[in-house]
Amino acid sequence: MAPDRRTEAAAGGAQVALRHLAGRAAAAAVGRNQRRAAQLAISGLLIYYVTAKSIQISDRSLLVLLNGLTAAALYFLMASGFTLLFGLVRVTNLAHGGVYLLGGYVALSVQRATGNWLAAAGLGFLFSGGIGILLYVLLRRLRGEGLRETMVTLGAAIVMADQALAHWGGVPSDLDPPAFLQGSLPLPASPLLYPKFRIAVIGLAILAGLALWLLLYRTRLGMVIRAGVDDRDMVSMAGIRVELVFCAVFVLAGGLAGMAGVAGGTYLSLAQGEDNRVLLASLIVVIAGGLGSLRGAGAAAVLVGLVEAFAQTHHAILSVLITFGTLIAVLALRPHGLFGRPVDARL
Amino acid sequence: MRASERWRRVAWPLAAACIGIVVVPITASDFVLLQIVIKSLWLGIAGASLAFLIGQAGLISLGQTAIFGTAGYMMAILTLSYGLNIWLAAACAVASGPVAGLLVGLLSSRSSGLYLMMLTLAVGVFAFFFGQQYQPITRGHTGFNGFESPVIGDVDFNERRPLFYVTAVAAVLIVVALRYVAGSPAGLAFRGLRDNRERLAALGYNPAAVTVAAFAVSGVAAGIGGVLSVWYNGAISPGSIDITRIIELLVVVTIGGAIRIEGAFLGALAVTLLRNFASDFTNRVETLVGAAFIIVVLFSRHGILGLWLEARSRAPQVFESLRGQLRPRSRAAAGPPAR
Amino acid sequence: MRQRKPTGVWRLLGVLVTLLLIAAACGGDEGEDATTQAPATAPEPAPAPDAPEPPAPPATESAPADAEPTGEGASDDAGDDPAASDDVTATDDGAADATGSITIGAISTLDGPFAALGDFSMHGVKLALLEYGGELDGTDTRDGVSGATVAGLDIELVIEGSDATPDVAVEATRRMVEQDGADIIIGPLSGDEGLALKDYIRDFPEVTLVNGTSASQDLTLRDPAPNVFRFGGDGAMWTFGVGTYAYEELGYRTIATVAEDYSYPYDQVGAVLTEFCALGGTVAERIWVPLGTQDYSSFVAQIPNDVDAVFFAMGGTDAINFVKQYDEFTGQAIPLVAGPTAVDQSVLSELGDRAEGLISSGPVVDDSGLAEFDAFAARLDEVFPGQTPNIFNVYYYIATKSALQALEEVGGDLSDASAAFQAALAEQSWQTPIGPVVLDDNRQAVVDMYLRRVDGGIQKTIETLPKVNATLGFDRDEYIAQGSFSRDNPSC
Repeated sequence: MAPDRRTEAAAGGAQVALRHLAGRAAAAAVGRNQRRAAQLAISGLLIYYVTAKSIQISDRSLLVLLNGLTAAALYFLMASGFTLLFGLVRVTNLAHGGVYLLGGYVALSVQRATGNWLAAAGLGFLFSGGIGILLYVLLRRLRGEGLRETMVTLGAAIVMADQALAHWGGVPSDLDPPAFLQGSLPLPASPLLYPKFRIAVIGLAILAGLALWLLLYRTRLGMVIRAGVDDRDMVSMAGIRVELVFCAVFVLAGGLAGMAGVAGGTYLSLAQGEDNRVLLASLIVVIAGGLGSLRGAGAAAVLVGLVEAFAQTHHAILSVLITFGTLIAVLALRPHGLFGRPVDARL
Repeated sequence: MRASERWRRVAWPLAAACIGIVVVPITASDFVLLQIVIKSLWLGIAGASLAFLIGQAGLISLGQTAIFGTAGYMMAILTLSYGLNIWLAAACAVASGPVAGLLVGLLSSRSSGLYLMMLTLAVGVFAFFFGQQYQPITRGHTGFNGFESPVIGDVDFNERRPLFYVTAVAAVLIVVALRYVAGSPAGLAFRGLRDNRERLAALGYNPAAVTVAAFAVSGVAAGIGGVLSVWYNGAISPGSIDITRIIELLVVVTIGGAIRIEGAFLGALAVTLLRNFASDFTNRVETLVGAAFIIVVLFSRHGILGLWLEARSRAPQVFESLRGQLRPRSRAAAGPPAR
Repeated sequence: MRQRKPTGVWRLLGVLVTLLLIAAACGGDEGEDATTQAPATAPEPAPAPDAPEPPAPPATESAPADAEPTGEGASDDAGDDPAASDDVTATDDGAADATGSITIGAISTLDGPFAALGDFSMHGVKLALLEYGGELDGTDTRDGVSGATVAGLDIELVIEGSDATPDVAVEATRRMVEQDGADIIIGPLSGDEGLALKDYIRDFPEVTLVNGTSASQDLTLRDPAPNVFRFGGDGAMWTFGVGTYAYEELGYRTIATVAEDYSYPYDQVGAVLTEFCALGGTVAERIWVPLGTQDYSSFVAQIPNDVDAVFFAMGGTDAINFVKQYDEFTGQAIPLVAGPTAVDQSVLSELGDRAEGLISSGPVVDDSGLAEFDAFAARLDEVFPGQTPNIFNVYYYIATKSALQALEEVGGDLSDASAAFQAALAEQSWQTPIGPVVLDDNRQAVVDMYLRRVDGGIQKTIETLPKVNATLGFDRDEYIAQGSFSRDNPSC
């Protein structure tokens, strides 16, 4: 019985880890480092709990893991643009969810017209980038007044949602994945399958992350952006046309949200209210990761995705509470998020 | 002299408010009284708690619906689930406001600015989901229906006029109280938090403690708003504190203008009027609301109230320049135009 | 140090009061228009109203006065303003008697996640009014119908939308009843809205609520209101017969259920389990999905491997997501049985091939062969091209048509708190597009349901279940005594 043996192995591994942790906790307690001891004890309990729960459904643990990663991928696509925009321009773009929805809907229209998913995705990306430019223009005269900028994006979000309703109606809809990504793959040691497109979404997020990393750390534009995140005034003093860079970041953020909209619109669906839901999820990720930190967005996306998938599997009814509770706990303990620095987030 | 001046400044507006309280219920139709006036008043009370936080302490909280909802749910739960005396329940519910405010404040005491905004948003959404998912207490998605407001003798607070008096008096008291706090030494500390956290700390205040205190004070107003909303709706459900309501509260305060507590009432009135009457002119109410919101924010730093204050401070200059233009040309050319 | 700038704020308060009064004046105005159309709601005819003064003077008066930046006399005008606008609002209660028109208010969800369903509902309302000589004002959902007459009286249609929350639904309905003077309300769409409206409308016995698609049992089952009527089924009735069919015909013995976590799905799951367990079946797992969930993959993962079938109860987006993901993750290894709205015609085309063969119960089938149904479908497609019958347009149509028929029978007489009209409405018994309807003592319909299968993108009849009542054929007292369905009731 293979699953049983796997279960035993997992249990054994967990036991070893636990014993190790317990030893260190005891050592810390003896060494009067109470805080460290408490931390170790709590993480030990968490590991024990998660392992015990996972063993209960050993044949589905892999599925839970993959679900968490798929969710994380979508959140990362949304959060990376959001966090860049905040890091550089100090704009909290509450219209990010609206851009997601509009990008997805435009792609839907294109796919209905041409039947081609790739063309749809491309146009959705471009259109959302265009909305990014619009937002840039709209926010230009308020530069530096964080609260008012945020409010304008909030108003824009309300308008976008209503316009989406006016143009695409309220009937929920979805895009068909491209032919080569249709269908599912079997999961080992489980009667369940895993859709190819979801795996592709994970891949897409990793690619987007890599591309962003290359852009930020290997190009001149990236250098300017990073410098801008650190010290905006200095960059403008260095004679760089910082406005152009700002605009570029708006386009990039919009495009990423649009891409997320296409991906989400394909493996989930497009409907009224989706904008708020996705915005909320990406806000959690951005905040938990630390505003302005790409690395933080990545780490927090994975954390939130996994917590969500785990909670939904084991505590279906209270799952949303657990997700938000995690965020509140993270922020109460680390006010600037996992990877955030105490940047000036004053409004 | 100073005292009498101050008294005058307080007496007139109070008199105006009293006249309003007497006149409005006589002149307004039943519908307007309930759905415009009373609604604006309790929404304004809830907004005032946020206007206080934003305007005085510089804390942009999206967690006010959590406080508001706690008090509202307390009101409904204690009377409908536990059959507690309605006045006792109301007292408990109002008291739960500052307690909830204290909790939200404790959670966010280490944050500021944008982080605080997002953390409190998480708290607000958490409260919504708690209402929706934790059925043993909250009855889930359906929530509480059929709440009856109290009756004393002949005065039935389910009727509109008594409800109006309660709400209006509460609104006046809250404005007075919040302004009093803002003018007290504690108010100085709150403004210190808004203007310069570091300097506040250097002065020996603990910014975290000041944050908690500000939230507790705002919790009083939010709690009363929550209780009155239940009296108004006769019901409370997660839909009363969902993300749309969180945003609406922020819209109310922003449109009204947070520099003064009273701005919240102005904003509440504007939003209530838009929601009730805009559909007579357009089929796309939400687009109109959103666009109006953007325009107000783009053109005024402090909402409608800011527009007003600006117009008032500019009025003499405008008057001057108008006079300048009316003058005969030769004389106008003699001096620089008044600016 | 403490000196504050003399504030203009208090003057603003004055303006605020003025604004309130102006609003009151305008409100009074409109209310007056409305009450003239509502003979029953006008308590006492007041003397002919003065022409309302334009509300501008008080506002302009206060503006220049405030040009002075000192606090002096600031509130004088604040005091004046109410007095000034006192006359403005003197027109308030002016109400003339019957001018020969009746106002129907229709409410559905026109914003938020259920916006599409709101469109469908309004199609049904308008279609009924067109039969009485009305003409569409425009193509938008919020555009009304004018020119319809019943018994020589003009019918005016007022349309309001909610976002599916009870608070907003009550405010929208209050607007129609108290501001526009609606005599009859058609709607609402969702269950909890219905319960809230029942509480509200109880205080207005002269106004009649004819339910749209609110499927909450307790709209009529427990503590009914005398002016609330439902000409369709509730959530449990819509699911009638599925449990029995699954046990006896399909041979299932153990099932799992997946449903959204609120009262309407509780009713559907409850109805299925009541029948299924009474026959000896068992439920292995009840999975409740929090509202607002999009990704069902983690919930699909919880379905036990060894059940015979999975019953799912969801609406709109959720149904589309669930069926798609269930298919992707399991290849439909375990057969699905659907709740009524999960495979309603309104989402069927979006579900596509994945819905083929799904069994469900529900009020609307496409092959009933009823002449009324075919006529309805043809007319719907003619007026609103591309639309097909679904639960929402059919139910709102039946509600509106029932009200209009009753109005016609009493000659538009709404006097005596609509007593004659409500009595006539309670006696309505006619052949609707989905079969005959009669009301029980709680003004709840007894109607036919259909056991159906999705075949070729439409719902085909397996069996007609005649005269389903609110207690699903069980003993009334026993059925009520078992309490509202919930997460774990029935406990089988």
